[in-house]
Amino acid sequence: MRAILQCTACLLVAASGAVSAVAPLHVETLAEGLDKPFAVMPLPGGEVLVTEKPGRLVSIRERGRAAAVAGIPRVLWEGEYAGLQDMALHPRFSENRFLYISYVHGHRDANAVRIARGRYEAGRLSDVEVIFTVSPTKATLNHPGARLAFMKDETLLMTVGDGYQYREAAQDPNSMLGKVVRITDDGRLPADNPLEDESGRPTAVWTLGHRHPQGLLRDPVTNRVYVHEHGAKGGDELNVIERGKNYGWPLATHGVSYSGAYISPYHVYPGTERPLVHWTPSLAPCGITQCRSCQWPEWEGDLFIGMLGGKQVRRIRLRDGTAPEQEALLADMGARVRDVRFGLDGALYVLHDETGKLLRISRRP
Amino acid sequence: MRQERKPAPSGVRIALGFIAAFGVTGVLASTTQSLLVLAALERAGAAFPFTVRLQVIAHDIVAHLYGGNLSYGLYILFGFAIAFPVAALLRRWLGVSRLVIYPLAGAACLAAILCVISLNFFYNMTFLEGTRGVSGYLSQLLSGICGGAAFALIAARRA
Repeated sequence: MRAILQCTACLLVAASGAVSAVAPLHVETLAEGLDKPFAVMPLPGGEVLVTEKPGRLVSIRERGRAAAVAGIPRVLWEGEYAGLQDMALHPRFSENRFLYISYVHGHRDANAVRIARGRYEAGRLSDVEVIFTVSPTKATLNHPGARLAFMKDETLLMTVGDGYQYREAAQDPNSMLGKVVRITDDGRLPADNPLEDESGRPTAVWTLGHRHPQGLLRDPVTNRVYVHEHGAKGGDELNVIERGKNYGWPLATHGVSYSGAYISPYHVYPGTERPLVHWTPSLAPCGITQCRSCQWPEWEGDLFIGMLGGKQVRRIRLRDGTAPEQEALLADMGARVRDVRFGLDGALYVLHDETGKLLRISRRP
Repeated sequence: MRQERKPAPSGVRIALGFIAAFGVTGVLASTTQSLLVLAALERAGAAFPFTVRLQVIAHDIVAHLYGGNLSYGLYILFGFAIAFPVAALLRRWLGVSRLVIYPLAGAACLAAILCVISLNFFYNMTFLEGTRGVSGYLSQLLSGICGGAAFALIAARRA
């Protein structure tokens, strides 16, 4: 296996409003040739897990050596779409070893995102149980969403995309498509979810009006929950989501359809929330992480978002009342970034989509 | 004394018919798609005043016919450039009325365009959101029929 690819890189390209100084970045390649990687999860102890969409979870303990994790359920993977998606560690992972994975299950004409959990130990996922399945099923493989994040109260959030062909369902409170859903850590519906069904029981819906959310993050300090989502042609959004609120899709968007026609003539619509940031033209955000005690103190609290179309990692500093500061990192690599995650070591782990590279970005030694 | 009008040369009539067919089909196809998209948004809870509807229709006609990486108008233009000569040949061989063969060619052309775009587009995704349902798809074929009829009436009439 190829040894370390090392480059010391000061790979910052200033974007709108960027003011921070160039930070020293040390880039090393931990793995190459990963097969359609989707999500990265650094574990305590230095091990790194990566999901591959065709259905493999791999463990990387040493640089350049990836081993398949046993016990992964069968996923629906067809035509480069769907498959194994995100993962999350239980907040008390060190005690209970619960690893949660999301994936697309079913067949081409009737499929849905599922959440399964199992105990991850010694390179194996055991006692795997499906704890949640999105309903209704859909006949497309696009826009699954499927990003996971735990809340402070140990409930689990998951983004659910609109399935592309079902965009109006994002406004239907009886459908989980185009929503962020919230469940307990064993898959039940929390009693304090905002919406009820006809019989008065809580539904899984936490927020409405999302298109294709591929980034979900809870700030452990403020407990704010961030979601970003793909627009169509323009209109990618970053939102702070709050219980029961409607984020507008498809009633309001800054994007237009791929044909150039309106999706909606409205950028804002009464009763829906405005995005914190929108990117038009699209950068195709995918994955989000936050610097909390990371290796760059000057970036404390900043958000980092992978960009597939924009081929960069976007650093974002939100500022009250003014446009956020934004900076493009690693742009000169020219690679589609599928996921980003800070590890416990404070380094930034970056997953490249097409080349299948896993990078570890650290401060220059 | 009444003067007889000299018929336009066939090349001019064909060009005029082609432009009319393109215009009729493009405007109808775009407008029906816009109205179906707005109807779906209304069912999802949005409201659109009349002036906003007009704005959407006008915007979408321009976008479909001139804008975007995948210009629907360009597809229609090239599609008709193939469909109508083929229809003319078939008409000669089969002896079918021009008011039958050209509208059929227009519909077949739109069906082929939607098929080709969907094959070249992302997996299982619809290029024109208004065609997600049967009524939207049929409205595009109807637009092709109207364009074909326009061509038949203008370009293919006897001198």
